[in-house]
Amino acid sequence: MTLRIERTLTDEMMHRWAELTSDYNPLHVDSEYASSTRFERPIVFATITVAMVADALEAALGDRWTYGGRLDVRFVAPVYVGDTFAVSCTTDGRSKCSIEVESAGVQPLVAEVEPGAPSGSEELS
Amino acid sequence: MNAGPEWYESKPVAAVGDLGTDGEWVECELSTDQVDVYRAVTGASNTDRDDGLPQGALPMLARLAYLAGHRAPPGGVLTRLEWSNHAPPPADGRMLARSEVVDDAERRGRRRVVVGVELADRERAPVAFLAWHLLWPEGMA
Repeated sequence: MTLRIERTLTDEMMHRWAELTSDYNPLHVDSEYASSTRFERPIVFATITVAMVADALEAALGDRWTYGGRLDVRFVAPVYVGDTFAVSCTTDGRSKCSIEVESAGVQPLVAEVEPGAPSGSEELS
Repeated sequence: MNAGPEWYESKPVAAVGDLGTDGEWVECELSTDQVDVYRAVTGASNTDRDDGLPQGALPMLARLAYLAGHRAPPGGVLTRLEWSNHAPPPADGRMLARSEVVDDAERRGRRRVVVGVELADRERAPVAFLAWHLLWPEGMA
C-alpha cells in the first residue's frame, strides 16, 4: 500500500507556523532578508516537513508508528516557500515501510523508517 | 502565542551552553487552538485522535524545549533528526521535556552539535526521544 500526501506550502502558512512555534526566523518569513542569504528566497521550516512525514507515517502505520516507531531524517536540500511538498509512504502491511519525499523536482530529505511493534505490545521502559 | 518578529528579535541568541534543560523536566503543552493551527498548516490526516495531539507536533515541542527561550543562531543548519517513539502523546497536549547536549565536536572543519530531547507525559511515562544534529554557525558561542 502506498499513501501519498502533498501540500503547497505558502507564505501565510509560514507566518502561522512562526506564531505557533514562537520562531520568526526571517529566513522563513521575510523575503527581503532571505534574498540576502545563500537560499535567495524563503525556505520552509524543517519542523513542517518532518511533521508531514510523521503525519504520513501515522496514517500509514498507525500504532506501529506511535508505539516504538523510529524515523531518521537527513535534510539534504531546502524546501522553498510556494513549492509543493509531497510524501509517499509505502508499507508491506506488517514490518517494512519506505518514505519518498519530493519537492519541485528534488529530494529535499532522506528518511528511513523502522516500524514499531504491533499495537500496544511494546514494553515501555 | 507570541508578539511577532520584534519580540523574536529581542530574544537572546542561543549559545551551545544555553541548550538543554540542565537535566530538569520542564512543562510544555499545545492548546486545542494551537493543535488547530498545526492541522491547518500541515493538513494532518490522523483523524483517529482528533481531540489529541498529533505525533507530528512533537518535534516542534522538542525544539521549543531545547532552545529554552532563546532563538537559534543565524546560519545554523539542521542536518539530521533521529526520532524514536514510545507511546502516543497525551490527548490533553500537556507534557514534560528534558534535553541536553549529547555531542559537541568539530569534524571536517565544522562544529557539530547534537541535542537530545526526551518527551514524556506528566507522569514521566516516555512518549518520544528526538536527537537534533546541528551544524553550529562559525563564530557563535
